[in-house]
Amino acid sequence: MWRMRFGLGVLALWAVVSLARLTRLFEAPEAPPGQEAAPLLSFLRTEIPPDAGYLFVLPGEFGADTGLGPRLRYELYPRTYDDVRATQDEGTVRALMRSEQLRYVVVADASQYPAGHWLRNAPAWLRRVDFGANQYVLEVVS
Amino acid sequence: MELVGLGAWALVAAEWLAVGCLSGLSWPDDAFWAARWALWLLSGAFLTGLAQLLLAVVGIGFSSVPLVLVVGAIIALATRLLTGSHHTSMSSHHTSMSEQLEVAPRERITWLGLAAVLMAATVRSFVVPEAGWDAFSHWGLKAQAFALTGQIVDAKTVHEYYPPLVPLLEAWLSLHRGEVSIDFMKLVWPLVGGAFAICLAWHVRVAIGKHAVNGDDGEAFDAE
Repeated sequence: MWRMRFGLGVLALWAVVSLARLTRLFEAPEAPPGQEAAPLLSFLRTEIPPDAGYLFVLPGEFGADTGLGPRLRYELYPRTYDDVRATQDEGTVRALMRSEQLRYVVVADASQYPAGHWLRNAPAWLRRVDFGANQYVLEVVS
Repeated sequence: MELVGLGAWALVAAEWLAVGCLSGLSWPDDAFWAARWALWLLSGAFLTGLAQLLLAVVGIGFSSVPLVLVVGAIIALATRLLTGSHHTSMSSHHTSMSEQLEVAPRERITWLGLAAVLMAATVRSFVVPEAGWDAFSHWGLKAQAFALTGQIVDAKTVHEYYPPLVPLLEAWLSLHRGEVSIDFMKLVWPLVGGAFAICLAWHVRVAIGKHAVNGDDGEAFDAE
């Protein structure tokens, strides 16, 4: 008897929660992650060969990501993806790119990085290919 | 969604139903058509995924839809033989809800409510684009990799150790459509989720009905 009553109690609670969550059916849809880079995607597919690898420098700290990394990873498959935080210094990133054989760096919005950041100044070992003023690809040249 | 995509979606549903039906899996007692079809769809999806997995493991891959279906049918028949299940949709043992199964008005209303919710969820899944981070970072990414290669490959996600059933089912839909799209691949989930919800509801009904028959507070549930 008590098992039956307990089971019914769980079912009733479940039903109440389900009813309360019916609002999910009518909520405004969320935007896909990294939607701000959608216009850039075909440019990136053209510039980065399918067998190449690329790096994405996450502009914010952990917990402040916009979902652009996962979006790039999906949209640019089968290109090899890797990412680092913007706080990583240029030398470390260069060593990583060499060891992982990554030839490109995707910059979806340069304004998200500090003014003096190496990504915005395009160091000599990288060649810049522009899509827009703040959207470009950096290719390793040396 | 364009007509070709809708056709591919319907074809996948029909294939899963057929494979599930072939397995002979059924509910312990009489079940109305939606519960039977839901069980077949779920079991058919699983068995088809298993066929994809086997073909990938032996190196043949699952790019050929007919080959996967043949292997799925063989596994379904083996399931039927091993479990001793022989009920099919043709059996007179099963009936529609309105025919032999006596259903109280309140239960009928509950089923209609569930159907309305599932229909609304299905419609929403067709019109709302994929927005899940996990879909882009691993589920959809793996499905894309599987669909493009016809094999279970390393998609370089951070969750390669996850079991492959979810991306295999999404890849299966993509193979029918002939192109990869994360918004299209996710449409397997209204099918699987809807079938799962109906099976769960029927399971609850069976469990409650059993207690009702045994006299445990049966009068509280309007069980027949």
